[in-house]
Amino acid sequence: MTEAALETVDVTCVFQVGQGFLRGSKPLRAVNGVSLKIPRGQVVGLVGESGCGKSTMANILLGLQRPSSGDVLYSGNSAAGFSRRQIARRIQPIFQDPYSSLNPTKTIEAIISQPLRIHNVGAPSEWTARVTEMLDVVGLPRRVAASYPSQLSGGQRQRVAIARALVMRPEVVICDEPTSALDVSVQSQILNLLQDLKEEFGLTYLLISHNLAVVQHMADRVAVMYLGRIVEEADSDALFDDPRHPYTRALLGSVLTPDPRLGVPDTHLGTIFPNPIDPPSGCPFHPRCPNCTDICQSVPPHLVSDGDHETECHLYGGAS
Amino acid sequence: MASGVILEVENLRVDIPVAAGMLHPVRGIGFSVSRGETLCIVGESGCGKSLTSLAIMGLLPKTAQRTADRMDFLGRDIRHLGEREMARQRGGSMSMIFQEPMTSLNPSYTIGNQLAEVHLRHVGQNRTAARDRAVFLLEKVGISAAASRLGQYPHQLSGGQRQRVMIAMALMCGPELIIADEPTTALDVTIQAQILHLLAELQREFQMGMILITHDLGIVARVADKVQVMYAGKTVEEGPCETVFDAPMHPYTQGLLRCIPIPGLTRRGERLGSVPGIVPNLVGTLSGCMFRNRCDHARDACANMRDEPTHMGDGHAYTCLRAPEEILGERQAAGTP
Amino acid sequence: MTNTNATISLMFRQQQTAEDILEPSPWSKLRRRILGNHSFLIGAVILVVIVAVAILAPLLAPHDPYDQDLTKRLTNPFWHEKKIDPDHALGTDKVGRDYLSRLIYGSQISLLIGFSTMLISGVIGTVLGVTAGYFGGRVDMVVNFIINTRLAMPVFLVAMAAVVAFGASLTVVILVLGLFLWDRFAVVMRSITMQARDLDYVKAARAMGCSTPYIIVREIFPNVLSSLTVVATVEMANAILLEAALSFLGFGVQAPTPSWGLMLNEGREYMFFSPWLLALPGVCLFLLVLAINLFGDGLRDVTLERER
Repeated sequence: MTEAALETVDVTCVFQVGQGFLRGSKPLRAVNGVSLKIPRGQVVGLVGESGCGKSTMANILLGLQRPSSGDVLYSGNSAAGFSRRQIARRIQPIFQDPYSSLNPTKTIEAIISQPLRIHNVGAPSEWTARVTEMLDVVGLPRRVAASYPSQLSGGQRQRVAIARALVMRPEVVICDEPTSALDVSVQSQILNLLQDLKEEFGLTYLLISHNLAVVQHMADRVAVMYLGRIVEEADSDALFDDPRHPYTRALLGSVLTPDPRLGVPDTHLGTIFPNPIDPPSGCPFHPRCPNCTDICQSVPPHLVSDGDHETECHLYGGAS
Repeated sequence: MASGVILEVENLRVDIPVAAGMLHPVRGIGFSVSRGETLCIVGESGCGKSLTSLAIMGLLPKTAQRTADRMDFLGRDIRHLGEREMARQRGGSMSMIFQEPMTSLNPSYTIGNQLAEVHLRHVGQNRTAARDRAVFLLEKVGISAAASRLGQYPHQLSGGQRQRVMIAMALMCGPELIIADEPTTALDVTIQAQILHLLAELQREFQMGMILITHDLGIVARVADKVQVMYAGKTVEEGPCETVFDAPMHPYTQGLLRCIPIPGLTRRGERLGSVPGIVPNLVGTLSGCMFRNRCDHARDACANMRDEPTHMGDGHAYTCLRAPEEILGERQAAGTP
Repeated sequence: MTNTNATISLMFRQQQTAEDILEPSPWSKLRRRILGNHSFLIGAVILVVIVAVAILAPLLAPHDPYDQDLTKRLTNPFWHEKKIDPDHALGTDKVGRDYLSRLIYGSQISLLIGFSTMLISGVIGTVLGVTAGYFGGRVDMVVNFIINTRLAMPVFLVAMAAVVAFGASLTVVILVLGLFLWDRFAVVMRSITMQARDLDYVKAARAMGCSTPYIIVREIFPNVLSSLTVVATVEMANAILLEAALSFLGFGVQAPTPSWGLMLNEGREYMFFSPWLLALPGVCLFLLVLAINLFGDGLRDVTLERER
């Protein structure tokens, strides 16, 4: 198996959430014991609904958020041995909203060359050349270097964000919903670009998205998150062909492919969304689960491995 | 009315004066919606789809000018109705569901209050009747323990539940027509499917007409009876849902369909199709096909073409000079009808 | 092989995005908006004139503002028929000082007080506000407490007490006002920084490995600058009016310094027979404060639109 470029080992992240004046605070387990491997040169998709802990995971991997427990391994070495700046050279993010991810007071050239300046890479005279090179790479005309973000379209801005992320040649890029704020026709351009760049620079991606069609198109391996836990993880084909966890099945069932002969699917999910501060007992998914049994309400399931296919659900055994 | 047509619009235009001249975001849109029918207006940002819905509701910004050859709602010309008359229609026999359920509900009133308020304003019965209807509809839209929810404030509900409340509110006065502008864009996929499922069910049950505005072709394919593809303020292709998806004629519709990865059809890592270029500026005098600068099939003649749709029977129509040669030709060459 | 593939995809990519830059540069837009904003232009013109008068006071003033001539007390300004002195266009005050010269030098005092107060309070308020907004949590709580404490103190009474304690002088007035008028800076900067802190470009800078001071100074500060200047103009106008009020009551700048507020006080006794002694410094104050407010209002309209 290929070496992991990035790996989390039993990472937990707890926030204290205020309950209002004089009511103290309660712990919110945004990420709850997650172990995830991102093999070098692959695309790992992380899917789940809002509030499931995807973004906290991204922050932890980027070194922006210290986990409460557990460890992050960069190429097999513990995060403790790296400074913020060293992590920054290995891992770079691409955000969802290209309108807020670029500082409106800076020119495109200043934005793309910023990592070089921060990390003192090369002489200032070389920076312009590097910026021009990156503009070519992401397919932007060179003359945008002197313009400001407000002059560009959403797709162009996202290309600038990609150029900024890649100018330091990182190993891993964390793409947090990279296309969901863009128009359909622009979306496909950005996805194509990300594919090309992966080949060209030998990148490793963590693709965080709620758009399963995009994840299936891009990812080699997929992890499904629910309330801070990874409930199913498998190679892309295995997961999409044979989804096991009822939540994964519901997610896949909710994908609306443009097939006019099909109606809107009924996901058979409950309408209650659990409060992450006060998660349900047993399996956290049981209030919404169509296959819920007695054991699901009281005993949390364990991870069951079937080769590379890991599922955390009582339907597949796992109760000790 | 005999055929059950609820809304009929012909040649709707919206013009907005801006610093650089006159902006033409909607340039002659026409459609009709019948009882129990869903019309989907699909297009990318800036194509004028949202302004079209606001124009029907009479909710355009003050500076915008609306003209139309025809706008009949339930057999009545609504083009020249005053603000008060329109306000009576809105929320009464036509109602709207917006994209962002958080900002469409007033955070300082309970949902019971907000639901009853709509009912009292339009139907004018007593509070008990309004409350009963609110409970009935909240149960209909799948909110559990509806009676006890009436006292809750919007922030106590999740995003999906808020959108359910919005739908209940839109249904309070038994509308004939519902206009939903990107009703599920802000929601998670599972919730999106649930909400769309609910909308389709309610529409069937109450035999309402529905105009659904969206950029998501997946949603269109699943819920639409009729599709209208908008580009740069005009309809470039319209027709029954199956026909448009099976045999799209306009290069823009084709391009959009090639852009999205489809599980099972597009291979992993395969290059997706794309529509290069950007939406044209709609300020000033516009002529010819506005898609020509992004179109692979464009010829000089496209700059001067008249906006006459080509009809193909069963309501399928497109506005393109090149489609007959290029697209039908390709299709015949490929051996598909 | 891979190399040619890369080149092909590169060419393909460039072809794909042969899009033009959509919008004119933000600077040219800003320029156009400034030229279209009348209140900004009017305010700016008056302000420039007053600042120029203050700077060129030694050249413009026909007399020394402190020169008394008891033989020429209370001469009338030029529009009167009798008791005018061709040497003193706007007449003289009760001790025979040239009124025009005193008005001209008075602009120096007002601008000096307005500007230095704004600087002192601006620095204090911005540091507190940005720190509270960026770090949040405990820091925010402490800063909020300081702001509330400050808001609970009546500026005017404390200023009068301070003048009584330390003696009245220009420096004391500036320090007292500067140390007291920072609350609005802090409140506005705090909320704007809070909004800016959560934007993705700040997160991107953190992910890039930028240090916290760098992020505050280089990423956040330029984006709160326009709001800062708007608050600054409001506070400057406020400080000028407060100085005038303090001086009028005798707790501010002391005689014989030519301060407009002090001149109002001195003219008070002659209100019925020589109303211009009150009206002229009053009009000057009014014009200056109006100009600053017009300028600030216009600035807000011009710059906030840029951010949209």
